[in-house]
Amino acid sequence: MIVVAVQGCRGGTGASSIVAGLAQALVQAGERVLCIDLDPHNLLRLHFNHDWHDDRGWANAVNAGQAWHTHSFALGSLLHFLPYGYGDSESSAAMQSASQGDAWSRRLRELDGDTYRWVLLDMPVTAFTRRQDDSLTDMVLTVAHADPACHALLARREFHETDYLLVNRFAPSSALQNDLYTLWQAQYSDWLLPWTIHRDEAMFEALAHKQSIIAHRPDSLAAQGVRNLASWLLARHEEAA
Amino acid sequence: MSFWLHPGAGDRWKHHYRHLRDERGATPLTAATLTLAWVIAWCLLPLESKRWQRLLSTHSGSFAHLQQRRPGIADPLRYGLQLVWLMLVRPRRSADTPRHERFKPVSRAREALHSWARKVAQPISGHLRPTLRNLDPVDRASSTTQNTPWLLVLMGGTTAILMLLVITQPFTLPAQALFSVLLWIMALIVRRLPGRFSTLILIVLSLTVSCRYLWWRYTSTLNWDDALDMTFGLLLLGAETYSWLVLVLGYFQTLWPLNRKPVALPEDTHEWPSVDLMIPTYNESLEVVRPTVLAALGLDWPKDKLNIYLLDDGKRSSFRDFAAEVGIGYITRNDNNHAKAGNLNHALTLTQGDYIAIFDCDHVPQRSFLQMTMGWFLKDPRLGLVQTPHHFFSPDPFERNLDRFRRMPNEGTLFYGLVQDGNDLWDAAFFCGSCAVLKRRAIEAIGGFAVETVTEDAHTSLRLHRKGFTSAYLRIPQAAGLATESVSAHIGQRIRWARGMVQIFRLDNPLFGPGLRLSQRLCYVNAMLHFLAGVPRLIFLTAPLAFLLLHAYIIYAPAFLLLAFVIPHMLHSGLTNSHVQGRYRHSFWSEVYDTVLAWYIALPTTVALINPRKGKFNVTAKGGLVDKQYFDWGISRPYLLLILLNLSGVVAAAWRLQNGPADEIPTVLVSLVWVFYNLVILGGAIAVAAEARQVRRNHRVRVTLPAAVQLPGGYAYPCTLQDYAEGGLGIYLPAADLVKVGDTLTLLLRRGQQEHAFTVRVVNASGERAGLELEKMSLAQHIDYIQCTFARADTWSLWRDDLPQDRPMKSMVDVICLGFEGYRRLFQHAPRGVRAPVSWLGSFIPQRPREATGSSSI
Repeated sequence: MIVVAVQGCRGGTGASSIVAGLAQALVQAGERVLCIDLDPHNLLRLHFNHDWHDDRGWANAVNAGQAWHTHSFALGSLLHFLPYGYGDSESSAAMQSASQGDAWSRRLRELDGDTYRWVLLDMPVTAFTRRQDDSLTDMVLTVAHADPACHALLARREFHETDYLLVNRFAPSSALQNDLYTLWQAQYSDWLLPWTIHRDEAMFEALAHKQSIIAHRPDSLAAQGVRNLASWLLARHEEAA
Repeated sequence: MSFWLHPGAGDRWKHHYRHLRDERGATPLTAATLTLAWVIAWCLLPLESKRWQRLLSTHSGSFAHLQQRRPGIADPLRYGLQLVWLMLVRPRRSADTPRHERFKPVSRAREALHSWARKVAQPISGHLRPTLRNLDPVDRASSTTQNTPWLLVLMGGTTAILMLLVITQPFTLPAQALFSVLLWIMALIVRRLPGRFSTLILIVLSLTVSCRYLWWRYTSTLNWDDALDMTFGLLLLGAETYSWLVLVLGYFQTLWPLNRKPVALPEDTHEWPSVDLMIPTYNESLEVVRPTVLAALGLDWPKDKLNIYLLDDGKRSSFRDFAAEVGIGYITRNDNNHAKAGNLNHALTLTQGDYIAIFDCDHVPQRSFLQMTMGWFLKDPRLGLVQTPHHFFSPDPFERNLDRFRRMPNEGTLFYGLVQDGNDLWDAAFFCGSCAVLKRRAIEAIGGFAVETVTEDAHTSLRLHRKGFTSAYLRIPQAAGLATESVSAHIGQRIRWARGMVQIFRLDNPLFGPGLRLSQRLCYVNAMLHFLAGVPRLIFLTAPLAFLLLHAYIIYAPAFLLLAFVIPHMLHSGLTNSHVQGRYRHSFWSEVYDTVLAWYIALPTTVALINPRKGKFNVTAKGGLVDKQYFDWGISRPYLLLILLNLSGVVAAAWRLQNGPADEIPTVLVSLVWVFYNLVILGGAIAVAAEARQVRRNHRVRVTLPAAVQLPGGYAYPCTLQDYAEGGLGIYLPAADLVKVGDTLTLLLRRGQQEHAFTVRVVNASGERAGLELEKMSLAQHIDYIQCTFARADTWSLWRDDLPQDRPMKSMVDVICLGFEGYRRLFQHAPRGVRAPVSWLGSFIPQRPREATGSSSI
């Protein structure tokens, strides 16, 4: 079981879209995937064509004292997802506290190792920070735009060995984006993934259709970028194994 | 007649006539005659009976070629001939029957022979491996032979004496035949062994056989009593001696290709030397020069250590402006003395870089050029020159007119793929005028680029070698350019090379003079001898005629003995050359190329041999456009003459077979085979003269590269770049109709880790394919574009791999087909007065039908 946390460098970088697309790309490769939405905005479910009015999720379940995975949903035989759900504001603040990291480590350990090959976590921007001894995730993927805001935020950030940086909505015709990307290639050479996901209208449309990019426009450039990510993860895992 | 025919018959009769007239375009006379014949046939034969009808319907396909052409008055004769033919031949099998099925017994015998040879070769190659390991250079230095030179001398001496004995021993016909067969069997086994050892053995075998042949020719085939025999005999023997010399030197030259690898540069770029990159130009257009300059601007080298200069002998203001705009140096001079060499020498006086990189203005350098080449200079302080291959992204006229581009190695492949690499072993790789780096100190030591000849490049490197500098050749294409655009321009270029090399041969003969090692002398001499091939080739093309037309015994020997000597000579040299050069040259094709050039270089080289100071530098025209298909009659005139001569030889041979003495028949037959071979090769030479159309001004380079496009609505798609040119590109999209003509898109191309965006307009779109035209680019963008396309560091190196290995038999069949194709083209372009009677005669030739497929109908 490989746990991949996907986190935006700041709000609105498209991390949830990438989680949804990645999940489906992995499923197409025949992998069993569990997606867990850890972001209180509870938006990941919309990428999976979930009913708008159904706001059940793990937060409700935990608050109500039920098992945390009570409200998980299946999309086909290989893909399961667990929405954040609706929690009151007080408890959702508690959910994001540092102790949540340990709580989730415990919860994921409850899972049978063979049930899922991949667990994708859609992290909120201000999630619990990782500690050195953190055993929750195998990999943290930070999604950034090649823009000054992300540049400033990344400069403050400490990278760990299993951290990776993915540039989303990249537009090579922008001189600024190109310059920043070139700079990052030098600065973050160990973490920056060697390809980008391009800015593509299809990515926005996908959410409007309540679908992932892979399901909505499989031949688009953004879908190709997401599939690249999936192939890279698979290849990297093969290598490790 | 209609009186005594059935009433309905008259109508059918008229109908038949009208059908011939209106639908098949027959003249009234023809239609009337044919209708009459048709009526008579109906009268005499019971054509309405079932059996006749069945016969007619099953065999109508066999007359298809006659039914398709306009009816003629002689049609009954044509049908009659075809009918006779049909009784004699079996119908051709459908095309999907594999070829080897048809020649089953032959291929089975071949297979058996090959498997036997493999079986014999396998245990030998097992024993061979340790021996081969001993040949490693590291071992060699410390091996016993080093310590015991007398052993080497002794062995060498004994071998030489034995060899001399084998070469000079006269044999009877059966003995010679047996000897040849034994050597041939040995060669067939040896060539299956891996590695260079087998190549060496093949070379020894070939040398033995060829030397024997030449010895025999000199000692026992000349008729000293007859002046005519003597003259022609000596001419032929001279030509054969030349070929033998080139063969031997060629073996020496390509004995052990060095295959040098680049040397890494120091980590610290401060230690990298400064380089002046010079682009000499004279009359080429700015469109040709621009990509080269822009690619040079993108070379991976410290900016403060790279100066680019445009050396404009045309003194054009547009070039001056362009140089100023892109920020490179612009150098002109007051005179144009000594053409390119003078231009470079003048530039040397105005620049200071430690090294000089030279690019012809149409050779686009790859970004990696300097990093690949400069390492060797830092490693070897005596190194004066590093040369890289000339590579072409457009087909040369031979490749274009024969439709061989990227299907077969071209003329340059042998030289840049093998010969230069072989030269490099002997420290004799020479300068080719472009795509090379020279050390300034070395050039200054020899007093600048050599100006005495029209091939300043080879002469300059000869002088470098004389001064004790070394040279290196890196067989990695690091630049690509345009090939010459027409046969006449191509020939013009070769004439210049030929004349220049012969000039050097006379003015600064590498065999004499100080400073060279024997191996270097031989390599240079071979390069020069290569260009003297014109006269010997013409002799070979006409030699059998001396016997057939003039009855001169040019080879004064019995025909069978001649065959027993000459066939092994040809087979062994063919096999060995195919073994050594198979990846770089295909058997028989070079015969065609050489034949095209032969006539044109024969005169200039002879003149240069006599008076080397005549002749001036002529610039090779490139980047042009052959805008319509045409036949270059001017170029092919000498070959038409040679064809006529050889045809008259065929006629004479027929006459001699009829009326000559019986004991001459074998000789006539051998001469006839020779004449037919000449006719095939000449047919190939003629085929080259039919210029194929070249559609675009900008040569499109075919590739398969990943790219991406962003569409007007913000959608983006991955796509495949299929071709690119200076002004446009072709892409293949993942779905049909994504773009329409007139759309403006953003094309994303990658160059290493960088991705560049270019604004393009769709100029044509069909299905998944789209043709794009680049919108106006800024200078920086233009450099990026050249870097993403022409100057990519990987494209050119991939090209060579997919060329098939030489298969001599297949090459022979191909060349024979090419010969026929040449005559077909000649006929196609012939004046109507010639074409009409020939094609009328041709229409009588019966055709072999295809096996009936059951769908034929009248």
